Amino acid sequence: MNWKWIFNMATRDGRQSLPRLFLFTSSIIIGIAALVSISSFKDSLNEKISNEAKELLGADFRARKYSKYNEKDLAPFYALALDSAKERSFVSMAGFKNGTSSRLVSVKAIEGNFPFYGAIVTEPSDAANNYQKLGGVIADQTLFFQFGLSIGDSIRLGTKKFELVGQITKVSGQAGIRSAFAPIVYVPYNALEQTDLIQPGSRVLNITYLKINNTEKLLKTIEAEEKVITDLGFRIETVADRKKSVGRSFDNLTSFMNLVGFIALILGAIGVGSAVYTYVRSKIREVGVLRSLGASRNEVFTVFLVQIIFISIIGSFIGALIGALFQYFLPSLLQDFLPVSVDFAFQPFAIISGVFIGLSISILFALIPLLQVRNTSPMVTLNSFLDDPSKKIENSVFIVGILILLFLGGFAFWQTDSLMASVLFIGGLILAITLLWGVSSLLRAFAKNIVKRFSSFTIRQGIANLYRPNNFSTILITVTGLGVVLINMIFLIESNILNQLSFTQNNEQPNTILFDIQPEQINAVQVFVKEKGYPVLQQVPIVAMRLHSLKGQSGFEIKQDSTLNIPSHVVDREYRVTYRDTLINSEKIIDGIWVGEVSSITAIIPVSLSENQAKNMKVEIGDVFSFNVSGSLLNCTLASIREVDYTKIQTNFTVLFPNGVLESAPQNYVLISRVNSREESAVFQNQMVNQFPNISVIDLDQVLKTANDVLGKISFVISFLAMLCLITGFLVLISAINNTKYERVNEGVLLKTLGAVRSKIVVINTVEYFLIGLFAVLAGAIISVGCAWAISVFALKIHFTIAFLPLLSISSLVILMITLFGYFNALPISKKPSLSILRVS
Amino acid sequence: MKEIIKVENLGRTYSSGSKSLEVLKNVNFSVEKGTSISIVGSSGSGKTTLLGLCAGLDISTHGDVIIAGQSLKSLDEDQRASLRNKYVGFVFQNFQLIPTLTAMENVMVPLELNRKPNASKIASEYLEKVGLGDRQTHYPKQLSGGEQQRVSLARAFANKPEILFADEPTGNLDDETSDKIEALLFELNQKEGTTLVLVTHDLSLAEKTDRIITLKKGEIFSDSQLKVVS
Ligand SMILES: Nc1ncnc2c1ncn2[C@@H]1O[C@H](COP(=O)(O)OP(=O)(O)OP(=O)(O)O)[C@@H](O)[C@H]1O
Ligand SMILES: [Mg+2]
Repeated sequence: MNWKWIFNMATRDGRQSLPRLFLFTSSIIIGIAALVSISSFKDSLNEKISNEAKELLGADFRARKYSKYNEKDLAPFYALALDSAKERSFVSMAGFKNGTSSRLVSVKAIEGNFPFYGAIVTEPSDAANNYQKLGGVIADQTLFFQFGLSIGDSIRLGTKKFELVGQITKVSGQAGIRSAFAPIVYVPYNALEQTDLIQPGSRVLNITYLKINNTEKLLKTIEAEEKVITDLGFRIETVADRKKSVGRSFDNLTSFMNLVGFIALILGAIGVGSAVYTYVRSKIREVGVLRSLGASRNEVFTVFLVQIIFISIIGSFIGALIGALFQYFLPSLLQDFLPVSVDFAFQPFAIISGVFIGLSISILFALIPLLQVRNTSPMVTLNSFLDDPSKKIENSVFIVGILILLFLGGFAFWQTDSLMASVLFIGGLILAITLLWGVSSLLRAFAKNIVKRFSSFTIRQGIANLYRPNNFSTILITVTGLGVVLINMIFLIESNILNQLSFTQNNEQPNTILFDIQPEQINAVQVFVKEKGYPVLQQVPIVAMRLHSLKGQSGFEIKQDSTLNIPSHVVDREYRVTYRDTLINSEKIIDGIWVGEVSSITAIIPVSLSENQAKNMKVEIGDVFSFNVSGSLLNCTLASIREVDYTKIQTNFTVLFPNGVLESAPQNYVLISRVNSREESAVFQNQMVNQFPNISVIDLDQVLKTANDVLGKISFVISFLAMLCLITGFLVLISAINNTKYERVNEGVLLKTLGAVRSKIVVINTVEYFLIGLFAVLAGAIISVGCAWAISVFALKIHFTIAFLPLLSISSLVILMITLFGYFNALPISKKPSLSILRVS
Repeated sequence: MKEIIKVENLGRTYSSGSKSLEVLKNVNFSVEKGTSISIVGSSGSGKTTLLGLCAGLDISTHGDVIIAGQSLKSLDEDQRASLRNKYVGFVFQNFQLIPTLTAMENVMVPLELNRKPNASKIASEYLEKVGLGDRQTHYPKQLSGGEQQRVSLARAFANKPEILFADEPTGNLDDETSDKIEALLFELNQKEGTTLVLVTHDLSLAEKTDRIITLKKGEIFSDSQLKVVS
């Protein structure tokens, strides 16, 4: 290989050709920018999580349990501690403005200097340190906004009124979104008893926080004490555990975002591939000349490869630069979800890997058309009709194809760490692209068939442009179509989730849940609800319990034995169990026999589990396990497995006991009703709080509204990413237009020479791009509805309806944009003087 | 005299699908070093096909071509390319200059491929010889047809080929320009002592060569020596 010649040739030829090719690299810029900014953000976030790991937990060690315990149980840990704090937390109603407003809040009573690391940021700033001494409370700022509160106002919790001494603006280690459903109110530990909120059976989380500097000793102690502690029902957590779990959940988020960014990059790479395809076609003659002058196949191929690499490097660097800068905005998009504040930082690894990924994928996709250069016969110089490179496809094209698949799969695996997910991702992507390709080919065939029906010359010409050789319609339809698929899907799925949540709009469905009702209150509450004119739709007793053993193994053993594959939450969680003698209409027995009643002397209790719970516990009919109900053990056997329809608003239970066992266990009640309007609901909540301060009311309409907000924020982030795919589609569009411009200019000029009026040329082009837009949108709509349906029905298990409005508006917008591109592209052509045709070689 | 080209039993069949078209059959001749020959014949008689085979641009289906003692059949694509670079120059009907390179750079392509030192000096020398010394930095589209063909002559001769193949070198030019190009072609050919193989429709051009081979339906119809070469 004559490298000197190759580089000379590449640069000399490049001076003229590259500006034309350059636009094409713009199609990978967005994808790379997305990857670099998301990965930079991910790295910055992880750094921050590492640096502020202690603030995430606020302590070095945390032990929690849903029932009261003696601090002596934790003595080995206290022995290491430099400082300690206690917390009791639960949800409850809070009353404001002298009982005229109320809402569900999360009450935390703290004793001690918690958090040891980080801070509760308040206004005024010393409130966080003073409120315990002052006997007042500090509350999340959302409460202040919602009810127009100010410092010095009072808040009623249970039977006690507190003074608001501060508003919380931030709690280190906690994401803002946390407070959306139940804003936090911190109360002094000692004042808690005075509220009368804690009753037998109340769901109160008790926490001990310890500050322990000697991590080594702490870990040793955990190792030694873990069994005892787990058997006692504690869940313990260290800074490292917390860091891992927070890191993991954000890894999932950023991986997901990265995959969407990657799709944008793949779309861009397809654009690059098609650009190189036309580029190579326009260079056939040049290739033939170089070959006849004695350049070898590889030398000529390398000339163009060098150019493509060069241009890809430029594109990748621009992308990386934009990505690195864009990272600045990402934290603000995700702010509400982040437990730490993420600062802007250059992340060299993210930038390097982004450039590498962009470069590789751009080159790989370019290689497929580029390899055809090797097949070009030098005979093209003699035979003016020999225009095509040989139709024979080189073996190396298949190798490149396999490399591309491996690369895509490798990236997906790197992001998801799951073979299954990578295969699904790649498979789905290939399927979507194939489908789009297929649909666009069908539409083109259709256009070819109907073209004769049109009498207008311009329209016929515009339609014909879609299927003539050397055009971009398939690629454009595919690329923009994929962008449309992604955006449509996000909107469709979001609207279906919201539809599902808005069940309360339905007049039949319950919308108000009262819980924490004490057994001695239940009759009074019933009467009260009915007096106010609302129905008692359901009323169930609830007993809290924990899994003690499963098939002879203790909870601790199950957690230690990873071969069992039982998720740790099966052991850790607190089960809220009810008992009754009949099934309700959202349940169906799918295995075993339902037993509704046992005599109290039964040694082994036949219980029913939901399908999911049985799967998680890996139990079959007849297997035995035991539950711990406030200290006493209940031996159970699996009598039946139920399929539960969670889409119905009812109190559904994973664990269901028969009558005759739990009647005397500590319990409380849940009551479900329906209140007619939001206004009535607010009034009803106030009346409830005034009458029964310890009972919490969940207003499902309110929950729906909050869910709406949260979902809106999430879907904004996702749509934003999907938008990148669409923008990439547009960039491919612009560069495709630019690349075919030379041909089109000649054609347009020819048409003009033949007497076509300027306006006709504009109309022809506009019609063509309108059709491309229309086809992309049609193909995209068909596929997105199919995918959204499959995801809704099979994965989310919700009912699916097509949301026409967003679909229509997205579609019209895309068609409009593409048509405008076509229009503005045609303008300069129509202005070219006819004479120029004589000059174009 | 030494034979520089030897065509043995040459045949070329194009097949597309089930149909096959025998474009050249049983062609035999040889060309001596330093002589000039022209190949004439009606359109479609196989002139261009024959030229492509002789120059190693295409591969025969029968027989062989031997250039400077090398059997083309025994060489692969890239070996034929390097043989072309060392021994062969081309002048094409539609000039085939590379549109993205200047006149100068076009001339330099075969020189640099051949790793000749002073490529740019040689190139400008030859552009001077064809009378385009002042147009070195112009791109093909800034040159007239005749000027483009002169650049292509400079490109062909600058690399000092043993054999020059020309396919209808004046086919796209008007009479006056044609005459100039022809004169230049023969002048350079004489000076450099190149062997010339010319394909043309133009009998007056053909008559300027030492020998005329007439093709008819892919076979040699006549082979007449015009000048005695000593
Ligand atoms: N690649 C090809 N595939 C099929 N047929 C071909 C191919 N190349 C040439 N032919 C056919 O071979 C025959 C000879 O072609 P060739 O170009 O050699 O003729 P020619 O004598 O150069 O004609 P002209 O004077 O018109 O240039 C023609 O009938 C042509 O159609
Ligand atoms: Mg010919």
